[in-house]
Amino acid sequence: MTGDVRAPRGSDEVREALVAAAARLLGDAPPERISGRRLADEAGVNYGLIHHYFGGKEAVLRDGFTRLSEVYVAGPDDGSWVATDPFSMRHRPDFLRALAFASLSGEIDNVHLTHPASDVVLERARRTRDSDDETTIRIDVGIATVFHLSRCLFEQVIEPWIGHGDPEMSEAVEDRFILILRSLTLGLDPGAAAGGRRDPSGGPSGPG
Amino acid sequence: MSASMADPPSTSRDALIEAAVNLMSRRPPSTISGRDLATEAGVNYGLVHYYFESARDLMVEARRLHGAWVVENLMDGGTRPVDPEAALADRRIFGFTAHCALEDGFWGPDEPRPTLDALLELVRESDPDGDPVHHRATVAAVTLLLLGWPIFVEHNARGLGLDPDVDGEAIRSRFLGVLRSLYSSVGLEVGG
Repeated sequence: MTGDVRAPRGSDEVREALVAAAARLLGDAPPERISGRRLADEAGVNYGLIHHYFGGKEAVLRDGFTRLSEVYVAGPDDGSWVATDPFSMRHRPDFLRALAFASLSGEIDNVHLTHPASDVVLERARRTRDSDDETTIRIDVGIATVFHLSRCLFEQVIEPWIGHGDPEMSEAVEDRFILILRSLTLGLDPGAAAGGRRDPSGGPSGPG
Repeated sequence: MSASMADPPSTSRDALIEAAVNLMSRRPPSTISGRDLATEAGVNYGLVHYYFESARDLMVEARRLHGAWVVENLMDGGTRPVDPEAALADRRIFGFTAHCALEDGFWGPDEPRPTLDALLELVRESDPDGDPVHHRATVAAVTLLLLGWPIFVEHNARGLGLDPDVDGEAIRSRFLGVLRSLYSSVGLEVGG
């Protein structure tokens, strides 16, 4: 803490400082590696206040996730993107990394996260897929979300290979990714989408 | 004891690399120490620094060798695509890559991507007159889906009100169907 920053005081300020600190730290490390002391330090509050206001660090981290999720759903002030855009998570690498860390460390059970745009996407999928059962639609939206998150998380690993110095190839493949994402959500044929067809028929089939 | 001036057997070096792959499949590299690596490999801690500048250098080397290892062992030297079922079952393939990707400094933009190159080569052989955009999009999409599986599937399933214990087989089957559809769009067959 620098001298000119006043330490948070009172219930509202302390709670806010802790939740904001959790939201910042969750993108840097798996939740089980964020100690109560680190949280208190980052928030500039006394360690004992975590227990006093939240009962423990888990509740602070949970609220930190909720905060990240709300910020993502709200989108930027200038409206340049919204959470239901294809691959919108690339605009919130902090939330994306927090999800990945929490999920990889197996801590996800304790934080119960919902991808914030899922409800909207699910509703969209239901409208066009009235003959499919609810479980299948949910599974497909889940797979589409995996593709969305993975495309954003691994962008820097895979993008140089996709473009290999050719920006037109990068753009063309990005367009196919958007078609693939759509085909996954709607239960269409992702192979046809990769080939550039907006094929209205034929979904992926199970094995056998 | 005192007479041993010869290099320790190279199998200790291999054991350390393998230990790095195993540990990095489960945890971020920043949480893995030289002692963790020595213990996992069953070798003396001093050997970490005999072969490598640091534990981090050892892990960077493991990451560098990983792509070639996948091509050699899981793609039969580049003659067939990675079997998606095997890829989903073995965290050493994509769990490893995910952990490396989450940490800075493990990947340079210009480094070779042997698994992507090998898969693209297979696609081109199978579909020689096909569209290069389709080829690259297919290889990238398959890879991204497989990379995303170990990280996001359970989280997403729960978030969507599915129970991985109950719906796990349906999710897996649907996911494999997606991969088969992508592969078959360029004429490749995978799995049974």
